[in-house]
Amino acid sequence: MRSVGQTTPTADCHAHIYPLGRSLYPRRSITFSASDLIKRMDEFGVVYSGVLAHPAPAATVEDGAREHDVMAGQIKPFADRLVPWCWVTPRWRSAGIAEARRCLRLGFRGVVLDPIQEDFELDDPAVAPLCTLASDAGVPVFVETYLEHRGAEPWRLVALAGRYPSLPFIMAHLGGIGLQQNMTGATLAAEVPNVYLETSCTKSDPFATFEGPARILGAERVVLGSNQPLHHVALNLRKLELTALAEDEKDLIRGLNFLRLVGVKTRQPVGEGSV
Amino acid sequence: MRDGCLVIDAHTHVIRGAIDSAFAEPSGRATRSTAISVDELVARMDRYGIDKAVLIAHAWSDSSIEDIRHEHNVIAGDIQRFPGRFVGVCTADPRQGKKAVDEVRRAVEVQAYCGLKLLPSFHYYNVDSFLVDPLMEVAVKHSLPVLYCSQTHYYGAEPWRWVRLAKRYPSLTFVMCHMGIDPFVTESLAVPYMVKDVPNVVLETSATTTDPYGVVKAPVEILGPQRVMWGSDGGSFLHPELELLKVDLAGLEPEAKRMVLGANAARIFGFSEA
Repeated sequence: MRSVGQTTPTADCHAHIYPLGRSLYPRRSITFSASDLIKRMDEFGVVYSGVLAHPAPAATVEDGAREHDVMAGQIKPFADRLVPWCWVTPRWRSAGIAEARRCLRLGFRGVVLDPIQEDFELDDPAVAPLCTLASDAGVPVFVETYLEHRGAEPWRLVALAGRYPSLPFIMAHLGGIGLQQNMTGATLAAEVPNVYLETSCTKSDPFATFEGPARILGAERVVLGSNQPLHHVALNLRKLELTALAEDEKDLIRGLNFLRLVGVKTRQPVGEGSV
Repeated sequence: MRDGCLVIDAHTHVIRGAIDSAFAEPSGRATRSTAISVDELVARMDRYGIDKAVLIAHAWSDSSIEDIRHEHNVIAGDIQRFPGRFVGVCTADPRQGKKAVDEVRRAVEVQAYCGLKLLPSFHYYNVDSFLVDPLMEVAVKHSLPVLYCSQTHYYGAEPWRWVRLAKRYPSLTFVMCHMGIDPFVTESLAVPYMVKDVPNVVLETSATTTDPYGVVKAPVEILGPQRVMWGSDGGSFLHPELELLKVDLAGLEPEAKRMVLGANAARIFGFSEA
């Protein structure tokens, strides 16, 4: 699903793999390997994908480490296309810091914070050591933000980002469903220079998903994301095409912004010799 | 037509002038045109192979009874201009009491509206409250399908309240628009399981997120294809092409796709399938 005249690669910031199967909800389980992800990427013209680790609720740090190791093994054959992110929680305290350091040594390219699943408050001081670690390592932080979940609200992320002005934070889901049509997630993000908007789990509103946020923040701060496999990348790719953005703005959103954030040079393999 | 199926969009609007202030973008740097005329709506339907549509009158949070009456008159005129393309659904704010009831009666009996839409998320009431009973009695008398915007995070409009209302009026068909909207709710399949044993509730797919399985395929598997209906909410904001792509990506069997894309709406709203 490449755009007419597109010369830059499509990169999806936000995907997951569940190679061992996972019950994501009591009535919805899914098995989705790295090979399955590559197959879907090929079908829809996606060259690179971020792969976010996603341990089960109440995971111990040992569970998290196993998840990271399985993920690294899955990704290895596709290291030129899949960009791994590690997942850590303040609940793991110093062991979480150690696990994040281990992952970054393995070649993981970013850190995921999930206050929705973990029920912590983003602006809690307990989050600080993880941000300091990411800042020191020069990797971005992906944050599961959601207006409708206490602790994960986008205004808390903006407060957190203000304390780490050189650390890029990615605000997932445009900040939450209640902010999508009026684009308040972008307005909040505009208060600081280091928050980027990610577009997964959004409605079929091309303007509010891409064009409006790009007008408010600049196209260089909007990042294509799908949240595959639960959600489908084809819908957001087509949604971007339906906007009136200029082709160079679409190129940034469609992949260049994400690749810049995770330090991928598009003519070079991702993670070669690492994961 | 799409893949040989009649396509009926079960949820469209024509919007004149400014929208509700709740949708206004706060920074002022990304304002957009919100108006869409019936001519633009028809052109868009033609572009995407949408044969017919349910055109829903809308009432904002501050609409008076006179505003609603005017909206009904204008929408009725729009429908008359395109014979065979639309059926109309009228709207009401139950806080307006007898005036709202009388206006719904007029819209149905004089202007041939064939459904009623409720918007508790705009009008600030609990949809399972006694306030709506007089309107439901009109709906029962005229066999009107009742549509409603379900929104998980708006007090009064939550999907479970609609289920309570549907159980009180088992002879009516209730069309739950948006399935609660929230992506976590659709991902978890909460709404189709919530309504599974309430046979007079039909789910309509508009204004949902990018999850074709959770929005389309799973509800069809759980409820049967006769209880899931495609809609775009295509007015100022949401795009029908994306909502159609969602159905394509769901990978339904041909007969189920035929029912979801149009046959169910034809049955419920009285469209001809020709």
